[in-house]
Amino acid sequence: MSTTERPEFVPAGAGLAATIAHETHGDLGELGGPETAVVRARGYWEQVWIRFRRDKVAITGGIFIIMLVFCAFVGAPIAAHFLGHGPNEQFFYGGVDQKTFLPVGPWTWFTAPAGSHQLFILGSSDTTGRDEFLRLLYGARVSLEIACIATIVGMIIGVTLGATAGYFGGWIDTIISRLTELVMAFPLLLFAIALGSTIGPRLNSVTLGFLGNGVLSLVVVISVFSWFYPARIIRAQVLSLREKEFVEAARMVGASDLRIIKSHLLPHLVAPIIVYSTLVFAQNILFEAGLSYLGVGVQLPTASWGNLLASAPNFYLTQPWLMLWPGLIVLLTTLAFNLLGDGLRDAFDPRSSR
Amino acid sequence: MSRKVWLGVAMLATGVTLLVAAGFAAGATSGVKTAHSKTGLAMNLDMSNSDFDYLDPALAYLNVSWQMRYLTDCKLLNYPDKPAPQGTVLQPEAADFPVISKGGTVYTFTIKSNAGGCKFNTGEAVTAQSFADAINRDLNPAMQSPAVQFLSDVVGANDVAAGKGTTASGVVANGNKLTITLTKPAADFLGRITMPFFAAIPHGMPINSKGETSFASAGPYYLKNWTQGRSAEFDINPNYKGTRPRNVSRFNITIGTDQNQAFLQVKSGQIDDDLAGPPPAEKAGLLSAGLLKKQFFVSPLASTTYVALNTSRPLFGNVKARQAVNFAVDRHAMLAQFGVLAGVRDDQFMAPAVPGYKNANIYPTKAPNLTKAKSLYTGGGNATIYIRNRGYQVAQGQILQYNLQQIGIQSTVQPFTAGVFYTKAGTKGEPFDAAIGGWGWDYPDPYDFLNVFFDGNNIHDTNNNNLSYFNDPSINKQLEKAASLTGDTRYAAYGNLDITIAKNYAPMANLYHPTFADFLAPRMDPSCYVFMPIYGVQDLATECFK
Repeated sequence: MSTTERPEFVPAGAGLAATIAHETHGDLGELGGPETAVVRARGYWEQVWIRFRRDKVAITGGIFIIMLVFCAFVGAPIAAHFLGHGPNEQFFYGGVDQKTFLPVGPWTWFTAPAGSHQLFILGSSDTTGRDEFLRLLYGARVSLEIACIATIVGMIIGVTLGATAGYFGGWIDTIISRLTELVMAFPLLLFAIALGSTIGPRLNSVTLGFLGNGVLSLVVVISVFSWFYPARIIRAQVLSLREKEFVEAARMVGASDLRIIKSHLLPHLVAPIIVYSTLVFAQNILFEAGLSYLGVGVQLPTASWGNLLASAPNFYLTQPWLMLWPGLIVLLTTLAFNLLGDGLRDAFDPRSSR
Repeated sequence: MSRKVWLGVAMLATGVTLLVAAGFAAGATSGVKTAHSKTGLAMNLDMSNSDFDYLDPALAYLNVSWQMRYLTDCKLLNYPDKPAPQGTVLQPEAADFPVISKGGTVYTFTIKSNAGGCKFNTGEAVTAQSFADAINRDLNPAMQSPAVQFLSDVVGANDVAAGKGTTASGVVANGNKLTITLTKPAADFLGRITMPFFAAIPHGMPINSKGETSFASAGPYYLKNWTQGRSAEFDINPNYKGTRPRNVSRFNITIGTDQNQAFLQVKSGQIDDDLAGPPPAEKAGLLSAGLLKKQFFVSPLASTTYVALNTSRPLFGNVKARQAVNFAVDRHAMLAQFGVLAGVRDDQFMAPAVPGYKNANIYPTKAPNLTKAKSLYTGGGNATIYIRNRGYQVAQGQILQYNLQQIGIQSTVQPFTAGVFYTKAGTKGEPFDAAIGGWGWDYPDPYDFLNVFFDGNNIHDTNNNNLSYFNDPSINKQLEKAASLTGDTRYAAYGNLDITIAKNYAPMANLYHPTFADFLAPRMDPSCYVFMPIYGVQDLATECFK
C-alpha cells in the first residue's frame, strides 16, 4: 500500500469506480482530476444541524429560550442588584396608590420609608407592593426549574418503561402498556390537584438547598403525569428497531439485553427523545402555570408565572396589564419550545422536505 | 352554487341565527322587569369564595349564615327590619317583653296567641316548647354548639352541657309561658337570647354535630334546599302571617362563585347581588362613578379583624413575642387590602360602636414600628399562619408573613375557605400559631367581644371563638366580674379591660374595624336597601325591585 497520504474525500456522485480508485490510490482505476469537485462526507449530527439552521422559525425559538434562561438565572439577580430590592420585598407605601389602594402602574419611581429610591419598571404585582418585573424574572426561574426537572424525570420514566415494553414484548409489554393507558385515562387536572393538595404541603418546604418553596412538590406531581406520551413514542420506536440486523448481530455475539438497550437502541432514540423533551417541556410550563393558578403549585411569596396569573384577575378591570405580562411570557415561552421541537423533529428526519 | 356550498351557507346561517338568539336570550334574562312591579320577583344571588358554615340554628355562626337565619327565624324578641338606630332596638316577635322578677334572675316570656304570626312551613305551631327545645338542643354536648358559652348563667345549663341530663332545670315551658332562670342577674340576657341560636325549632329536630341541612322554619322564609358548595334556595313561608317584609318571592343562591366574575354579573344585571360584596379593587371605581347609595352601599360594622396569636403554642406563648407582633404588623397595609372605605384601623378589640369603648393608642396604626418590635423579641422561630382564602385575605396573609419575617419569624401561610378556617382554628390543639380572623357583635354589648375572645373558661374542644386560646385566671375573673355589672359601671369596666388585655397580654393583634360593602344590580331599588346593624349584613327581606 502506498504511504502517501490518501485523500479523505470521494467526489460526490463519483460512483463505485472512483471510490475504488481513491481507496487504492490509483492502483486500480483512475483518480479524478483536479477539475472534479470533492464533497466532504457529512456526519449525522452535522446533517441535522444543517437542516435545523435552515429553519429560521426554530432558530428564533431557540434564541428566545437561551435569552429567557439567561434572563432568569443571570439577569434576575443582576436586575435585583441594580434595582435595589428583591422580588418578595413589599413596598406598600410606594408600590400601592395610597388613594385607590391599587397597585401602581409601569415605570413608577418612589421613595421607600427607609429613604431609598426605588423603581418599579412594570409596576407593582399586587396590593402588597411587590415588583412585577422582578417577580416575572424570578418566576421564570421557578417555572423553568420545575419544567426542566419534571421533563427530565418524566422522560427518564417514559424512556425506561417504553424501551422495556418495546424490547421485551410479551407480558412485560402488556403490563406496561395497560399501566400507561390507565394513567392516561385519569382526569389529569383533577388528579394533579388532589395529589398537589395532599403531598404538596408536606413537600413545599423541601428546597434541597437551591429550589424555591413548592418547586419539589410540583416536580413530583407533574412528573407523575408527563411520562406516558414519551413512553408510547419510545415503545413504538423500539418495536421497529429491535427487528434490525444490528440488534440481532449484537445478540449473536452475546450482548445482554441491558447492553443492547443501552448501547445499541438508545443511540437511535436520541432524536425522538430530544424532540419530545422540548414538546413535553412546553406542556409542563403550561401545567405548572395552571396548577399554581389553581393554588396547588408554588406558594406565595415565591413568584411563579402561575401565581402571578392567579392574582392578576383581581385587577383586570383596573390594571389589565397585570394579566398581560405573565400571560404573554407563558405564551411566548410555550410557543418557542413548540417551534423548537417542531424544528428539531424536521431536522432529525432525513426525509424532511426542508 | 354547488350542493356543498349551499350546505355550507345553510350551516353558517343556522349558526349565526343561534348566536343571535342566544344573545337576545341572555339579554332577556338579565334585565327582566315586570312593569309596575316592585315585589314578588325572585332574587338571584351569588355567594363568592365561600359557603355557609352551617344553617342549623345551633351551629350557624358566620355573618352570612346569620343573614339567612334572620330571614328564616322566629324568635322570642327580634330586631326590626330597619337601619340603625331603630334596627338595634329589640321588639317583641313571638313573645311579649318578658316579666323580669326575683332580682333580675327570672325571665318569664308569654308566647302570643298567634306567636306573632310565626308558624313553621310544615304547619307546626310555634309554642313555648319550641324555644325550650332550641335551648336544650344547643346545650346538648353532642351538638358542640358555640351557643353554650352564652347560656353559662342559666340554671342547670352547665349540667346539660356536661352531659348530666337533657334539659336545663332553669328552662321551663308551660303552656304559653317560657320561664328562664339565671344564676345571677345579667344585663345582656335579652340580647343573648335573641341570637339566632335560640330561634324556635320544630319538635324533635335531630341532634347532629355536623348540622342539619334540611329543617322547617317559622320565620318569613324557609330553607327549601341547600347543596353544600353548590346552591341554596329560600322560599316564602306560606304559613307566616307576621309583619316582617317579604318583598322577594324566593332567593336563589349560587355558592362558590368567583368574586370578580360575580361583580361583572351584577354590573350587567345577570344576578342581583353577591353576598361577598364587590371586589376590593373595584370599590374605588364604583365610588368615582357616583354609584354610592345608588347601587353601591358602604355601612360601618361593629366588627373587628384581628390576628389571633395562639398562646397555647411555644412561639406565641411568650408575651414579648405577641407584643412585638403588635408593633410589627402593618395595620394600614392590612386594611388597604380591602379597598377604599374599608374601615378604621385600631389596635383594640372592641369596635368603637360598642358601649364602653375608649381609644388608648397602644400600638402604632399608621405604620409598623420595627425598631420597637425587635427590641421586644429577638428569639426568631417558625410560625404557621391560617387565613381565609378570599383574594384580599390572601394578600393580608402575605403582609403578615412579611411583617413577621422582618422581626425574624419565618412562617408558612395556609389558606382555607371561611367555614373550614373557623372549624380548624376553633379546634383546640390545631397546629397553627397565628390566624387572621374576623368577629362581629352578636348583640350590642362588650361581653360579646371580650368574654368571647378572652374568657379561658369558655374554651372547648371545638367551635371555639377564643382563637388565641388565651386563658389567664386573673383576666377570667375580671371578665366574669365585669359581666355581672350593669349600666355605666359595666361599660367602664369593659373599656378598661379592653386596654389592659391589649397592652399587657396582647393575645391578639387587632387590625381594624371593617365596613360592609354591597353592590346591587341595576334593577334593585336602592330605597329598599336596609343594612341590619346587629348582624352587620344587608337585610334581604326588605329588598325590592325598581
